[in-house]
Amino acid sequence: MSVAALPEVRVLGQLLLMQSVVTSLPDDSIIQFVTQGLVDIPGVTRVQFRTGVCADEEAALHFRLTCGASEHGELLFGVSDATAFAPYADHIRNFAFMLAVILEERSQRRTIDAQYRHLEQRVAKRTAELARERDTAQGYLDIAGVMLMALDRQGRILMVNRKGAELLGQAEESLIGVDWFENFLPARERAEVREVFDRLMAADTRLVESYENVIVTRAGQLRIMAWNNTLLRDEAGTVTGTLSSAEDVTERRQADEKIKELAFFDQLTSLPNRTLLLDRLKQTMASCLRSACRGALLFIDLDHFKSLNDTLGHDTGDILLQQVAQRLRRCVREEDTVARLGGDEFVVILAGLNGSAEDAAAGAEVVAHKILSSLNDVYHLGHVAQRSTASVGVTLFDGAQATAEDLMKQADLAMYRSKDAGRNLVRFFDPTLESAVTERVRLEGDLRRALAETQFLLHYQAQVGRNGRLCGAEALLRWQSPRRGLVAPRAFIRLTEETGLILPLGLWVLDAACRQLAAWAKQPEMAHLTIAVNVSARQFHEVDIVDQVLKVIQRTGARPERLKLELTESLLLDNVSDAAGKISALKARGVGFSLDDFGTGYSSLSYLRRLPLDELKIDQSFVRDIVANPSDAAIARTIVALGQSLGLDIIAEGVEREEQRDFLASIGCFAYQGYLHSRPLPAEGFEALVRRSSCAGRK
Amino acid sequence: MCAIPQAHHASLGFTRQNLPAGGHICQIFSNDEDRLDAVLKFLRSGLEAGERVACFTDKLDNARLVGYLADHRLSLEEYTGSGAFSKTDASEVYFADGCFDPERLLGSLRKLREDALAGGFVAARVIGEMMADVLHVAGISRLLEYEARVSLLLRTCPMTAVCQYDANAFDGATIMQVLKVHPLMVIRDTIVHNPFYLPPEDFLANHC
Repeated sequence: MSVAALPEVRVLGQLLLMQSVVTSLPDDSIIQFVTQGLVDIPGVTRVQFRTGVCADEEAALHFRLTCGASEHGELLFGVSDATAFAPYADHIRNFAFMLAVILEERSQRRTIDAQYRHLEQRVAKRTAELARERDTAQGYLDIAGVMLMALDRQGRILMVNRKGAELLGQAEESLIGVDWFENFLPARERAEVREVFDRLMAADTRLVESYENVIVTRAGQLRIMAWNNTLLRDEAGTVTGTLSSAEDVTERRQADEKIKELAFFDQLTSLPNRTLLLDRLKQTMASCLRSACRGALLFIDLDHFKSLNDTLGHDTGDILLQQVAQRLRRCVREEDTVARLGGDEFVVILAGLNGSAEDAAAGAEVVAHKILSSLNDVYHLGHVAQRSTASVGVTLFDGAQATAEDLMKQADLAMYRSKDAGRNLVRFFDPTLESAVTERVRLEGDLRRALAETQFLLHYQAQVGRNGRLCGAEALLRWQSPRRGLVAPRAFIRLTEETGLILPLGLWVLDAACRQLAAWAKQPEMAHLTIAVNVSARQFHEVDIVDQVLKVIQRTGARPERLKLELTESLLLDNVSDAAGKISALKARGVGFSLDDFGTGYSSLSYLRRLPLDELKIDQSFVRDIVANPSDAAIARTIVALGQSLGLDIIAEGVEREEQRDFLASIGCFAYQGYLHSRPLPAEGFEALVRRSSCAGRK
Repeated sequence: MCAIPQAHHASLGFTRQNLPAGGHICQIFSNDEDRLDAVLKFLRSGLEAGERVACFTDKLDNARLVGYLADHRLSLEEYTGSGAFSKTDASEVYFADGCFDPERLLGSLRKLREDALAGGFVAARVIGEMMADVLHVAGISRLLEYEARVSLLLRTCPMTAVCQYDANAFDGATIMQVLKVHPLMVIRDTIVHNPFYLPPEDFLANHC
């Protein structure tokens, strides 16, 4: 039995070295390297590598590169000396196994590398997709018309879109990480808002989904933002911050404010208008009721404002009203209300007057006098220094007894009392005046009905000329009320003027007088008579008064030269040039004009020259004591002299006694009207008077 | 011809073992890290031992090499100034006159050692990257002839030489041939005797 030779250490070292070196070789070098090296093994002439396994060849010379279930081919040895080769067969088998392990490991690494590369490609592809999606989403965010912003738990900006960055005035990138509250909220609100935010992050309060607030941009501008908020949560549901959209509603809110201002504020003075005043009054009344205190309503009307407006112009008048508004504001507390009703009418609501009714009245009176004093100060209207006064009416309320509208009427009435008492005064509403208010309302209703039902009639008071000859009459309005009986005009004329009823009523008077003229024209003994008709200021200021008069004349067939219109001084003063134009137009058609109540109004006489009048009428207030009172006599004398110098006829009214007539005659006044000759009479009575007078004249 | 000197012993950096000058060592590397690590250890140990050290390389630019060594606390600036260290482009060494001439190369190695000793250095060592272009320019036989004659040279002119071969630049068969002309190898930071090594006389007799 032969003993197998021992393997050479050198050859075993080669096998070990090759195992070490192949780990450093690239995959495609390994087989080349080992097949070259293995040729050094004794007895070996050549070494080949085959990828497949060939089973039919001599197994001893084939060394399969097998690792587990993996086959990596086989090494095929060409051997010239089997004996020399034999000691290495097992070592080569081990080497082949180690080589197979390395090849398997390389193969697996290739697979892993391939998978890794594939995965990398997929990740890269997905990353690109996500980037595109992010870019698309960013694009959507950027084109969004609203600001979008996310905050982290500390209130730092996580994300903001382009719109938001534009609005805040800072680049998007530089906003990331910036503390929202510290940088973009007004200083006075920071602490409070951050506290709410911190509580929200701590789940200690609920999210307010929608609200509006003011932010400060980098440029320091204040903007009003309307927010919609939602919470950001992580996968575990923990709150991680907020996501908000916001719209800049600054302009919209300013427009709202403007609309509100237009709806509730007077444009000239910026004070609350009537609508807001009534609302505030109702609120104050409700507040008084709740807190058992009282309030006061002050009606303030400037004295003679219309005159000032006409004299200095509307622009100046407007400046005065603005200054009045400023002064009123300064006279009251912050919680009180100053409003302008229109024209020169202002209203003040004083709220929260404590104590008894007397205490409240005293408090209101103090404020009212303070207002009077303030409004009495000189106004500087451009280059003009002007003084003005006001009349104040006050009513108190506790919120229980009266409506807001009632209070307005009460204060208005009190203000008229102030006017009636001489102006520049404070008057409180007297409850007894309430009956007057009620009566006023009833009277207005009765008057409207009277007009509709023609309850009015005319009486005529004779006007006598030289030698006692009856030359005409003044038509005097009477109201034959079914409920009130025969009512004199002083009981209702003022109300008709205030309500506008004077216009249809004045037209009716004119029509009735003209019809009477037309009727008398057919009677020889009456045909020469004139009729004087009083025309109210409001009526004469109608734009088409000339047409109205001419149409009545045409319709009734009256002779215009028999019609005499009586105007008052105050009426003419309102607009002298307008009055002069209208008078001239009617005079051209034959209508005569008399200036009624001359001497009782303003002292300016210069306007008389500009007005084409026919007659001055001395007011009965001068005639009454003309004999005994030198002043009245002097005035009457002046009026007569003035009329004569202007070529005007003079007639005195209220002549009741012969000595009055004689005195008037002595100063050159030869026409009279009054009880001395006749009381006002119905048409039939007046016609009878005329006939009697004619007979007496003929006798 | 060099006189046979007394052998200078020094560490090659891979182990603490001091080896006599004259070793001809092959390193097969497949990545930059392995290669730079070998350069670092070889240079540091040589410089610390007072030897003159040369490095032939094309693929490593100066900044990369200096940076790597500096990262590992080896500053070449001082050694370059003293002449202890020099770096030469491998192409300049192997193709100085446009061709691969083993005779000229061996002369260069010899001169390198003589200059080192003349300069007061205790010895010389060189680490060089072999260029695959040599195969195209001169063929594998000339390359193997050169490596075998280096082994012969180092017997009489003992200096230590490390030849670095990039496994990605040379195929497996060539690598095996290269092993046969290097008596020593660096395998995982260990200097081992190469069992494939053929004495240069035998190799040159059979192959050249």
